[in-house]
Amino acid sequence: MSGYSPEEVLGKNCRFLQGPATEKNKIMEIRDAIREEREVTVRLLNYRKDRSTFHNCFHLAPVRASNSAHVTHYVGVQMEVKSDELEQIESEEQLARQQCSTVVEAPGPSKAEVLAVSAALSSQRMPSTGAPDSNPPVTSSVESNLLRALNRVAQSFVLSDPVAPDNPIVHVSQAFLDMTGYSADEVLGRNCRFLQGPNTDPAARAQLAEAVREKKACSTRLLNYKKDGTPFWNCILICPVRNAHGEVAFFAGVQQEMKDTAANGVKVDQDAAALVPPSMPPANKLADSHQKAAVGQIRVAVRGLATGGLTKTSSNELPAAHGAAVA
Amino acid sequence: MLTITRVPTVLSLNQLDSPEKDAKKADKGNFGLKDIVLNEEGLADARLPLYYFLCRKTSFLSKKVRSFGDLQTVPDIDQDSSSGDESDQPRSLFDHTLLAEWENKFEEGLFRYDVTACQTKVIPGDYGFVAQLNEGRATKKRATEFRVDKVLQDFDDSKFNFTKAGANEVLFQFAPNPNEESGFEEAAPVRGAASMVLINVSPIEYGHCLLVPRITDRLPQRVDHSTALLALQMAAESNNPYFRIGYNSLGAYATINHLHFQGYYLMAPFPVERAPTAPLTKLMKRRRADCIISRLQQYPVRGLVFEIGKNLDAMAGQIGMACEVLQTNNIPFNLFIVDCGKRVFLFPQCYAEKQAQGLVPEELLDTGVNPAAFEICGHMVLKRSDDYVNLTEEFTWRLLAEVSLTEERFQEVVKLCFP
Repeated sequence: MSGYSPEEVLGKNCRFLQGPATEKNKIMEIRDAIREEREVTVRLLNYRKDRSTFHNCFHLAPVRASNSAHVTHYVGVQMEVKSDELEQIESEEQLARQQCSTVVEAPGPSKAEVLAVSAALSSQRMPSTGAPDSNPPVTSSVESNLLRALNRVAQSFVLSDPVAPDNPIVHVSQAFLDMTGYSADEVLGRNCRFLQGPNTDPAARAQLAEAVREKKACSTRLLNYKKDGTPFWNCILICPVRNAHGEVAFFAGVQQEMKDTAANGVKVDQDAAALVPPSMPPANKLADSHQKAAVGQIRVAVRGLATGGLTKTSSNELPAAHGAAVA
Repeated sequence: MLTITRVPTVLSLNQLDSPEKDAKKADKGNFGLKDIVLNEEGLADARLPLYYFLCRKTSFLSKKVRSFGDLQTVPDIDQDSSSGDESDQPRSLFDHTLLAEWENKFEEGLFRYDVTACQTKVIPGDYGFVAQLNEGRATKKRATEFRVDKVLQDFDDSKFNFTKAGANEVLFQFAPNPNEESGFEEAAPVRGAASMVLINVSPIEYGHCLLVPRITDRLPQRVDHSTALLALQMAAESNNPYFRIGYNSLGAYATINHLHFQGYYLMAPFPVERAPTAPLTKLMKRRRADCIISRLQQYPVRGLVFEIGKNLDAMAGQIGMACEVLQTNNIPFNLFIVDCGKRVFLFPQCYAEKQAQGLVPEELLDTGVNPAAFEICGHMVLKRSDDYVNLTEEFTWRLLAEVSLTEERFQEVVKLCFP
């Protein structure tokens, strides 16, 4: 992206990407964030090695050692924003500003990616702090309590963060990776539309986009593509999922691949996948119930109250404090 | 005669007064199931989902009964189960079915409010009482007088009961399968007096359902050996320790005199599950083969604890016997089934009686908390935002302590149950 080689970059402060036209106020924002040890997302003008410019949607986050509040690293994730996208983004931003008071400063992918990187970095340090632990692959940037509950859901699903710009995926199930052929790091931080392709029905896409915008549930079938380009019929159910605060914390998307069998009338034509049967086959009842059960499990898990919140009493001097009914 | 006046909780849409009900039921197609009620006539031609449960005749030895440890330790049970052998913890068809069917009803909009939009939190402290702010449970229904000094009352067909509920509120029929394993049918005819699992249209957590044993037999609210067993079997069908089942007798905050148990998922330990227990020595020796009976300690409400010994049936026998004694002696009580049917708490209580006599402090009554099974075990459902924000462990303890029998009375009751 930048045209530099590793040798030219390592050991340098990242400000070599800046140039005469880089917005000064954006640089100040980043410096403030570093001083205050917090994360920040800005969009700013950067320069490649050949001095050509690009709009960089930059997300920076501190990484703390797993057992302390001490910041050991900063992670910066860059994403180039193409100028035609920029126009669209700017008009969307304007719209967003009109609609709500919290201003979305920059659209971008990177928050979830940063979280994933942070998780990877802090888990790498685990062995040095004692506990020899086989690091699980990072498939998520949700907190560990929730992660374990979500790991019990067998179906293919993703969770995305509807508050972050462009609704990036923050959790992906193993079944999803098995089904699509992607790896977790290729999925986390992206909007789920990467499954779509040339012959995906625009009407179904619009239906999903509208549901996300309106924070409503929606189920539909659309042609999706695996990593190797194989098209498949995806029976997808998406819905907002609320946390213990009663707020929409995630959008869940549960996928079910409709297998190409004569019995259910599903046909995927490799060459002319556009030949969508205009009357879609009726949804498979069993598949539907699997998806619903997954949604139920996800809802229960996301509303879960972490046991970590409980204070563990150290001695057996409990009852006296309350002095009421005890044996 | 002692009575309290309260607005009954709406468990079924047909309890609502017409305008509210009509607004709720408008345009909900569902193949006309809403127009069928759950009496003999309505069920004659109905086809409803059917869940077959396994009859567990033999003992099932479990390595671990206490799912949530004790007050000193909070084991991470999700970690345990995911790192464990998969065959050891098969995913349960029951949980799958209940969640899928419940989500269907959720999507159809049958609930009076979205329970997942209610705020919930753990109250800081040693016990981890759970609070929920639920502003949707209230109704415009008129307050009704409830008699609290008569635990056994005859079934009254003129009052609301579940044979008047709509068939669209049925999650599934719940029937034993003596031969093979658990199973599910999408639509099956209703044979005889089937037991039914219905949604509770005023849920207090996800998956809130009602188990109505032999619905058309019109059993009044009364627990015996066979009905205790059915509830235990339902708990055992789930392999999710976050699913618990509760029961309220008349006089202990049941509002419908038609036999029903309630269950829901709460992904947190209930404080009562972590409280210590002490053996009742004499009882232990005598009943060991059937089940282990002990009593709760360091908990605001005095209660008995049944822990599985031989098998579910033997434990149900002991519980049924104790409940029969309480019922015939007119002592209101609550039951709470945890650890997938392996442990059961029994709380004789006197809050409603005190309330009727004007003996409960005003500040406790003001919160509007009705201490039924789930509340007694530590899940406090509050109607007012201020109460939710300000609830402390100390206040919760004080409220629950009012529910408890005195030590003297508790010992008398234990002697009555196990002479």
